Amino acid sequence: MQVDNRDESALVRAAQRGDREAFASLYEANVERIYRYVLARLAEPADAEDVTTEIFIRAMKALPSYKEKGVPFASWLYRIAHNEAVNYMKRRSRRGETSLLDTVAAHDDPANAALSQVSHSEVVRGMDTLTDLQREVLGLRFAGELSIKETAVAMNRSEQAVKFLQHSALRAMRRILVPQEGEPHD
Amino acid sequence: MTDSMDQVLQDCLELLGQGVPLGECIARYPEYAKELGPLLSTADVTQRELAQVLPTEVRNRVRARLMTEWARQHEPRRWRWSLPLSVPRWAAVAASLVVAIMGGGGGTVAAAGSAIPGDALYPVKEITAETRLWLTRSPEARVEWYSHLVKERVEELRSMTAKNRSNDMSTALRRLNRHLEGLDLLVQEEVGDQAAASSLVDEGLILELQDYVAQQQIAQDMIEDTLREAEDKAQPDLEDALGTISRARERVQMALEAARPSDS
Repeated sequence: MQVDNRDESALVRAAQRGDREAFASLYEANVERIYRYVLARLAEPADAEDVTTEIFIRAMKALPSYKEKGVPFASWLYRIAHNEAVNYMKRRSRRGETSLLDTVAAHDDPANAALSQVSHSEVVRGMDTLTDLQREVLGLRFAGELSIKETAVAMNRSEQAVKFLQHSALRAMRRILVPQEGEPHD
Repeated sequence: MTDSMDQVLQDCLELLGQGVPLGECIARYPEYAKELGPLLSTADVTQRELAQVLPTEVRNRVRARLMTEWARQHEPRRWRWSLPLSVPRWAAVAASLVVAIMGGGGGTVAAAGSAIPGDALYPVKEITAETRLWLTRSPEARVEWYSHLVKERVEELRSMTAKNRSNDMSTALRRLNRHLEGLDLLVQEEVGDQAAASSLVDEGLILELQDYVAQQQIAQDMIEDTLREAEDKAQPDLEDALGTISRARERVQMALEAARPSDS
């Protein structure tokens, strides 16, 4: 479900006034991409479900202080999503938990993986090796399906910086997914 | 890696998104063809694998939880400015009068709202805030107010940086420290002790504190942004503020985790 900017503004204002259905519509319009973004960061569907719930609860609580002038609603939501995902990963690492993907990784042989047969777990594992900013850009661009401009707003960076990060992240992903190929040429 | 390659890659990703075949995209940029092909196919695989479909049952479960939470959040809230019996009635009345008089002189108070340290109206802003804090007794409401006060101080620091008024920053920093100390004390009393006694901590307070943690992350980001553009003289104060907010946020986060160790 997609809503255009004008509809979205009206929904936000209505939700700020306490309209439950308006908030539900905002949820429906954004949950798919937020879930994908979180899943790309956390890998585990059960974790992604919990964190997605938390993100929307945070958004619900912070909604009265949201001002449309500054940041588009989706970008604002992604900022919350980013913070929640990072906090969740920190908690998970402090508890010494590992992702199921780590276990899968031990039995994989990436050298045999042709790019066309790359699985979801390999892509997420590849993302784990990126820097925070590279991971964030791929998550927002490819899982969240944000444009360069929206990604720049969500990350509070320039569009040029986002393009640079996107480029460096894809180069790094290529090295991970096709290790036998070596460095692509400049 | 060049700026132009960053742009070419983005142009090709947009073309692919519009349905232009890969070969045609690459043909438009022959000088980058060798690198473009592998990068675009990597982008394609990454996008394909990250575009996981949200299962309907998950969508419905999350929605149901949210709607329950919405009902809880929007039920009539208890009177947040209630005072404990230990506060003498005359003091409450006097304080209310102060607030009312300041509110009545609305112009002054409103104008003071945007004052920063060093401005003539700043003391009015300070007294109004402190009075309201004193009158706010429920822990939940106090956390919300502390969060608001920290945000105000961060805005002041940003404003002073933009106006090159770093000499007055110490006032904002001193107040910031006082807010965070007050919050620390509140968390210790309301969450720390109760958690140690394994008794239940008020769910509303937990949510408010979790919200506080999220808000402070944004406050940190704002100061980091300000730091990048601040003159050298302002840098130490901004770094102090950043460290103070970050440490306070971590303490609240630790208290929350101690109170709800199994919370994910």
